Parts: sequence; C-alpha cells; structure tokens
Amino acid sequence: MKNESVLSKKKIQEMADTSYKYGFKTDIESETAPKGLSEEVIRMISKKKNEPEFMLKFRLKALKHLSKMTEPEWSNLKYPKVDLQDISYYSEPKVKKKLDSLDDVDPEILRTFEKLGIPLTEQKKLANVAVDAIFDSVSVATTFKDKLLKVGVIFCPFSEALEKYPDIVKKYLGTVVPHTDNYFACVNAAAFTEGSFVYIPKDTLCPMELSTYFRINTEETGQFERTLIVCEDNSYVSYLEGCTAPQFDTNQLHAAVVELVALDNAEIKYSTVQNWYAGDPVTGKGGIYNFVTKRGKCQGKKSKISWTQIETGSAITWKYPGCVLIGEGSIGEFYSVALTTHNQQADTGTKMIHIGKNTKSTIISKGISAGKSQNTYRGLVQMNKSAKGADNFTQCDSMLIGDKCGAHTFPYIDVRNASSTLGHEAATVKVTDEQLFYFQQRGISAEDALTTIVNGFCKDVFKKLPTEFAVEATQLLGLRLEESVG
Amino acid sequence: MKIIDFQEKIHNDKTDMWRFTNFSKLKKATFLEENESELCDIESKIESIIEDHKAANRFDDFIVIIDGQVDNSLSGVQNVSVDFVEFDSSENFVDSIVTSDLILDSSNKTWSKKQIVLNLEPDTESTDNECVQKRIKLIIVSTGNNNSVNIHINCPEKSESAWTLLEVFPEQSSFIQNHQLTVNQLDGSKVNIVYLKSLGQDNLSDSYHFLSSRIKLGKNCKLKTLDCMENSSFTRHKLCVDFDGEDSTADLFGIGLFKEETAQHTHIQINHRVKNCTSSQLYKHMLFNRASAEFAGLVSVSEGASGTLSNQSNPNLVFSDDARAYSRPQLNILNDDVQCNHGATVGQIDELSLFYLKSRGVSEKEAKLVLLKGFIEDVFNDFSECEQEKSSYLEELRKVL
Amino acid sequence: MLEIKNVVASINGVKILKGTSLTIKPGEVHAVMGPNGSGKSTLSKLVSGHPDVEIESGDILFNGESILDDDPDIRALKGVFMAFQYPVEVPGVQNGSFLRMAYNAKRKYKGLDEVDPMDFEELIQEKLKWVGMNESFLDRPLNQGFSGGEKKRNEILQLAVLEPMLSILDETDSGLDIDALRTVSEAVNRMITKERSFLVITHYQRLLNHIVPDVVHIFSEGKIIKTGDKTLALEVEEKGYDWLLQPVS
Repeated sequence: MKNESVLSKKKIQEMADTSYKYGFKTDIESETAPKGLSEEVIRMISKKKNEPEFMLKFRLKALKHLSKMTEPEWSNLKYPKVDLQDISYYSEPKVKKKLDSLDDVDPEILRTFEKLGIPLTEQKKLANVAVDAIFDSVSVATTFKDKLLKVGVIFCPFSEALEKYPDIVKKYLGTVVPHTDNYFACVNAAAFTEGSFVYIPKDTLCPMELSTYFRINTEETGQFERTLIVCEDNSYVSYLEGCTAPQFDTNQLHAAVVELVALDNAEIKYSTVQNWYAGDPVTGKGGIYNFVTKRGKCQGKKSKISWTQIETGSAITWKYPGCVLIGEGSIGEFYSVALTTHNQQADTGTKMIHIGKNTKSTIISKGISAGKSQNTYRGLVQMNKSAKGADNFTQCDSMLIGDKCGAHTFPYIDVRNASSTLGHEAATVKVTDEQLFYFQQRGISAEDALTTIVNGFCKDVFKKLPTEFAVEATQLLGLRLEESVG
Repeated sequence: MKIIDFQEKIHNDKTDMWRFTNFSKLKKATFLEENESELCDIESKIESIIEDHKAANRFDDFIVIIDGQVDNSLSGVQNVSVDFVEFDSSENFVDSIVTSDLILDSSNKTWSKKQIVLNLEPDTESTDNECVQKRIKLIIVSTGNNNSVNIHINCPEKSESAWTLLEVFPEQSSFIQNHQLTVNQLDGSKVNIVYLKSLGQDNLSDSYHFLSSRIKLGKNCKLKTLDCMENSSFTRHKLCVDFDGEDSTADLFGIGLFKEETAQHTHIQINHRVKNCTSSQLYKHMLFNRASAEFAGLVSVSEGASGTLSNQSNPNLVFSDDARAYSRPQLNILNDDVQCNHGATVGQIDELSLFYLKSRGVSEKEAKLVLLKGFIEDVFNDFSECEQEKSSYLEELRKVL
Repeated sequence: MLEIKNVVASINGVKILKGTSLTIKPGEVHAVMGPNGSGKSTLSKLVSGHPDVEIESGDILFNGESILDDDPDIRALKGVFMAFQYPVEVPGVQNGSFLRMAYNAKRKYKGLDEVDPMDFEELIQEKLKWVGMNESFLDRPLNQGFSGGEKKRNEILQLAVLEPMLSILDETDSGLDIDALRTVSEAVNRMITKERSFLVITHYQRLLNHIVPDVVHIFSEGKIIKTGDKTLALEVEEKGYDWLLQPVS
C-alpha cells in the first residue's frame, strides 16, 4: 500500500522550512464588532445572522447565566485570566451578502485555504472529502453540499441550518452541552457565531468524509463556533475538524462547543487535528487558548461515538471530549495524542459517563511532552448504579523528551455498582539512548529516529484516523517535534 | 431518564483533596466527653492484649499511651528514650484555619499539646553497637479525654525496627480520633510499620478516624508499611513519604474490607525528590453493602529525581450495587529518566475461576473464599508478623459472604 | 578499509580499551575472540560510534579518513554496519518500514532516488529467503516480541539489504541454535566479496566453522594479545584462553 498523502512532498518541505507555516495573516477587509460582551452585542450577532427567535432567547439566557459564573481555576494550567470584555465576538470578511457560488468568495480567502492545504475550488477540491471552510465568524464555502443532499445528508454552516432546518436545531441544541455546563460553554452559548451542522437521516451511511476547517484570521477576535451532529437510527458519519490561526503576539480565545447525538445503532466518528498557533517558541508570547467543550450523547441502543484527537497546537489546550452512554449497549471511545513543546500547556482527557446497561468505553491516550511544556491527562470514568455490566478499559501513557517538561496523569475512577468492570493502566515511556543509537547505526539521523519512535508510540491512535488524515497527522507530529528538538 | 452527574464539573486535584470526604455524618454524631466507669474496662483490656501477645511471643516491647500520656506502669520498653516537645498550639491553630488542609494538623497540635518523641537507641548489651533491632507495639488508648496524639519516631543510622500501631477505645461510644505520626529514618535504616484495625467496638457506627503519617527517608533506607484498614464509619488516613536521600525504597501496602455503611479515604503522597529511589503501592479494597472507599495516590517526581522507579496499584472488588469505589491513581512527573506505572481495576470475583472451582465440587461460598484469600495474599507477603490479621480478614469474609 | 590506531577508550569512566590497534583490508574477514569482559564488544561500539564510548587517545580511519568526529548515522552511511548483540526493541515501529527507512537513507546519501514500498517489497524478497523468514516478519513491530533467534536473523536481514562495506558481527552466534546459526552464516557468506570486509566478534569458535576468517585476533584486557590465522581459533577452542593470558617468559 502506498501512503499517498493529501499533502504533496513539496508541501511538506515547505512546512519544514517555517516553524509555523500557518502563521501568516490574510489581508482582507473585515467587519469586526466592537470589543466586549453585552446584550447589545448578542442582539447584533443574532440580527446579523438573521436568526429565529428561539436562538436569540437561548443566547440571552446563557448571557444571564454567565453573570453568575466565574472562570474555573482548578486546571493544571497557568495563564492570566481571560478578559471577556477585551475580545471581539464577531468578525466577518467584507463580501457580498449572499454567497451563491465560490465565485463570490474573496479570492484572497480561497488562496488562504489553498495555502493551508484545503483547496475549495471545483477543480482542486479534495476527492471524497466534503469541506466546510470557516473564516473567523463566517462560513465561506461548503463543498459537495448538493451531492450530499441527494442522499439526505445535511452538511452546512450553522447559520444556514438555523435558517433552513430550525426545527432540528431547536430539538437538539444544548441537549448535550447545556449553557450551564461550564464557564466557557456558557460564553459560547451566548456568543457563538458559526460552526457546522450535520444531520444524517435514518438508515443512511454518509458517502464521504465530512470536514470543517476553522481559521482565525483577525487579531483580538475570539472564535466561538458551535458544531452539532445528529445521527438518526442506523446511520453513520465520519467527521474531521482542522484548525489554524495566524501568528499574533496576543492570546486569542477559542471557546468552541461540539454536541453529538447518536440514536439507535448510529455511529459517529469525530476526529480532530488541532494545530492552532502555539505562541512564540522562545518567549511563549501569543498563541491560542483552546478551551473547548466536546461531548457526545449515545442516546440510542447500540449507538457508538468515537473521538480521535491529535492535539499539537495552541498555547493552552483545555478539553475533555466525552461520551454520555445512555442507550443500552452503547459504546464510547476516546483516542488521543497530545503533543506539547516549548511553552505549551495541555490539560486534556475525557469523560465517560456510563448510565445504560452493558455500555462500554475505551480510552487510549498518548501524551508527549518536550521543551518546557506541561502535559496533563485528566479523565473521568463513572459507572452509575444503572450501568449494570458496564465495561471500561483505559490506557494512558506519557513520554517525556528532555528534562524541563512535565507529564501528569489524573484519572478519576468512580464505580457505583457491583457488575461493572474497569481497568486502568498508565505508564511513562522513555526514548532510550540505545533505541536512538540503533537507528543511527542504520544510517537514520537522530531527528528522524526520534520522530519515528514517537510515531510508533502513537500508532494505536493514528490508526483510528481516517486514512486521508493519518499521514498528515503523522507528518504534523514529526514537524512539531523537529522544531522542538532539532 | 435522569442523567446523574451530567452537569457535574470535571474533577480536579485541588478540590478533590476533600471532595469525596463526606462530613455530613460527622455533624450528627454526639461525642463522649469523659467516662470514668469505662476506664477500668480499658485497663483490663490492655492487659489482656499484652498478655495475648506475650503468649504468642510476637513483640518484644510495648509502649502504652493513654489519652496522650505514656503510661510507664503498663509499658515495657528497652532502648527507647521518650521525650516530650511542647507545641505553641495557639499560633498553629489560628494560622491554619485559613488554609483548610492543615486544620487537622493544627487541631492535633492544639489538643495533643505535646509531641511524644521516641528515640531508638543502640542496645548497650548487644555486642554489635551499630545495629539496633527492635519490634515495638504502640498501644494508643483513648478514654474520651483526649482525642489527639502526636508521635514522632527517630530511627538512627542502620537501625532496624518494626512498629505496630493499635488503637483501643471504650465500648459503645462515639468518638473522634485525630492522630499524627512522623518518622525520621536516618541513613541505612529499615522500618516496618503496621497500622492495625482498632479494638474496642463491635459496632463502629459513630467513630471517626483521622490519621496523618509522614515518613522521611534518608540515604539507602527501606520502608514497608501495611495499612489494615478498619471498619469504622469514617476513616481518613493520609500517608506521606519523602525521599530525602538516594537509593531508598518504600513499599506501601493496604488491605480494606468494608462491610457496613462506611467511608474510607486513603490519601497517599510519595515525593521523589532525589535520585534512584523506588516506591510501590498496593492497596486492595473489598466493598460490601453501602461501603465507599476512596484511594488517592499521588506519585510526584521532582526534576532532580532521575532513575526513579515507581509502581502503584489499586484493585477493587465491589460486591454491592450500593457500594461505591473511587480511585485516583495519579502521577506528577518532571523528569524524563523515570519509570512510573500505575493501575487501578474495579471488578468482581472472576467468574471463570469461580466456575472452575465449583465444577470441582467446591461450594460457591468456599470457592469465593479461596479466591478472596488469593486476592489478599500478596498484601501480607512481606509481613510475616501479621498472620493473625490475615486470618481475621478471612473470618470476616466468611461472615459477610 | 578500517584502521584502528592505538585507541585508548573508556565507558562510564572505566578504561576498557588500552591501546587497541587493528587494520582490516578490503575483502578480509577478521575474527576477534576473547574471554568475557575482555572489551570485545566495546570494540564494536567504538567503531560504530556508540555515545557511551569515550575516546582518550588514538584514531579510527575508515577508507583513509578519520571518522572520530562523525555521528553514528554518518558512519553508517559511509558503510559501517554493526549487527547488535542485543538488538533494540522499538514498539509501534514496523520492522519493514524501518528497514525501508534505513535503505532509503543510504540511497539518499548516495544521491539516488528513494524506493517506494511496492518496489522495496520486491527487492527484499530474495534477502528474506536468505535468512529464512517470510513476509509477515516485516509487519511486526521492530524486534518487539521477537525470539532471540528472530532478532539475530533480523540483524542479518538488515545487513543483507543495506550491503555495507564493513560489517561488524557482535556475538551474533549467541542465542542461536545450530540450524539458525547455519542459516545466518550462509547469509553472511553470500555477502562476502572482494570489496567488503567483516569483523566477527565471538566468544566461541563454532561460528568460525561457518564463517571462515582470514585473520584471528585474541583480545584480552583491552588489547590484542595475539594474531594468527584460522588455526589460532581452533587452538583456543582446544586449550581455552588461559595459556594465552599467561605472561610469556
């Protein structure tokens, strides 16, 4: 089998040449809302997006609740408090009101996405992957939309979904991550601007990979996208999100919410390749605060939700994609690679809440710390009284590269019945001098050896990614590593 | 369906120090002020304990502490000098009210007033002056007058000592115990510590135990501890091990059989501060009825602690849908030259093994007992002196099954 | 080909090589024998550039150039190969892709195009047969869970694929049964040409029945104490090492 990548070899070389190749900023005119979060701003956003009444109510309720909340402090992360009033909550590229075809999209933006390896134009678009490209607060293009609609699959920007399918949105919005869930989810509920919406009808297997590509462009803008995926009975979808941002000296907040709902026998596979700007390698200045709430609800019998995440970017990553396993025999999975280098910090893991009978979950987490970074795995496995015969297996391994970084493991195991089984194992893994020497003795440079060994360490997770992206993720990891040790 | 804890915030170590500790029962309890009539009961009880052990020839020496005072008439001890150090209690207590984690520490210092310092001394009659070998039983008796004892043990270089802690209470009373034990192991010393189940009440429905142990190891030391967890309604044992010298080893074991509506909290912290030290933890829990047990073990490896080896394991067997097993095996690693593993399991008696035994004609109960005996066996491996405790666990298991 | 010039070297501050000299010409097979702990294996680490070896004095020339300043990978690319006594296990890395990676590193060094997986698979079929392994061998993680014999076969497979100028076999015979020993030796013998040189480090003579050396050195206490032809190895087999270690009066 040839491993043909989405990215050509030349592109990989380009990647290697710059430390963060996505660090450029696109000069386009954009309309940005004044800084600060207020009822006025929220009414403005809602009006701009021409939203139905229930949406505005949802937002205002969240804003009201936000005043009762404070930013949580319990994480293993160090950063100055986020000033919500110092962020702009809306930025849109100045374009014609309606985007009927790609011809209407600012060519600068199209070029931006092409540079990011996400060509959107008809001739160049990726085969068998439908892409929704989101630029700051607005979706600029969605490919293969019509082809998908023919089989009943809805894949569109959130704002379009509110316009065309308000009933489905209303039925599921906030049912998995309510606005009261946590501080940043509450900010999102009040101020989210765009995102993707996916609806797979009954007995339908989505014929292609769906992918959303997020790009923050404007300085001092936060990105607050909200994704909702609903899979009806006996349906299947595989979805991937990718993210990049330009290099700014100021920190930017990315507080997204992702909600997944799987009904009877439905399966959702959600993959993330996260490569937000991580801040200046030396000073640690700038970078994205990636404070994200992702949760899936396995509502139906034998439903399955699988999270795969490759986290390499962001100054701070703080997220716990989890599954609430309600349906009998439902399955939750979490596969994660989190690489931190330089001054990055990550506090990430999962929550598996077992409620239904014979529910099953698997957690495989691989954390790699290099440079001066701190990498934390934090995960909860809870088996409630009703979750008779539930089963969990957890493996979380850490690898440290260098002597200035830290690896932390904080699992929380909570079992409340006498028929569940649970196994948790964790270990630290070291790249030994003997391993490096063995590679070198075969003519392979120390850098390549390290990358290969680390990729080997992450193999169990990479093989869960859709093949189109597995190679990209492997290369991305290699590049991020080379920057840090090369 | 109501989603339990759906909105519960994710757990974290800062709040979890006390998160699982349920004080609601503590508020309801009434506590004993003083009870003269039971005092003589206790004295006879202690004497019988001493007689029993002498008969079994288990321990050489006894130190009996009644309500925070060393009782010289009952104690029989050689080569251990006893000092007392006064605390400036008022200062401590006021200071720590702000930092709630230390409240138990300071309240102990306030009420115990003095620290009992036990200095192990070389045996003058022995030909080998350098080596001290001692087996000492510490019997801590509370009559209700004083519920805080603070003990400090000094172990000289190359000494070998085995300590057993046993608490004795008056019968049929509510009580709170808040004890502290600190041990200072000098270079090359070996220490074994066994925390025994307390004696006193059959029904420990209103008993509250706090125990905090802190053990400091010098170079080339060995430490083994065994915590035979009790069945009082509320127990919180904090055990902290500091490696201050290189090439030392600490092996911590625990066994818990929780039958009633009890809450057991075990908090372990192991600080690897220097090179080439090895630590292990093996805590096994069996939960019945409405019992809940928390195991929180944190292994911290500092930047300079290269060559650290650490292993941590917390197997739980849950026998009741009303029981609750919490486990938080944690790692904090700041050095890349380490090998740390941890694991926790929650489950039941292996069905296949049970079936195998039953197919050979063993009754279900007997089969379970055999398998449970196997389950608890390795915790006792290094503690030959605890055969009696081991069999008492098996007896209790027989009852509860 | 290889010239070790009066090298004094230590590992972890312990002096192991105490003035070792050895010259191997193209096409020659040299054997180094010696008792346990004599420093034989350090010799292989020295030539391949293991980071543990600290050189105090002396020089190593490879094709007339000093390689002392070269990293291990550069030495390997120049043509030095060491079959490890204890091949290293690397979880998650596929044996086959590792082999291809090494092969391509060498091709790249020579200015040749890299070989894609399909072509590579074809290319190594014959070599797999040499060491008596089938293709599934390539899909397993590198050395992980391999038996002792499989590990050694894998080393020789790498040798056969990489075609180095100088091959050092560090106690390759240890842990091999008679059949495996024969297979491995035959594979090595196929590799012997007029250009390629071999340095066979072994404790026992039995390997030298299969791979016949041109020169035999006896190594003791960090030095070569006697050099002879293949009969010297037979003599050692018969008499042991002791007679050589006695000071000659």
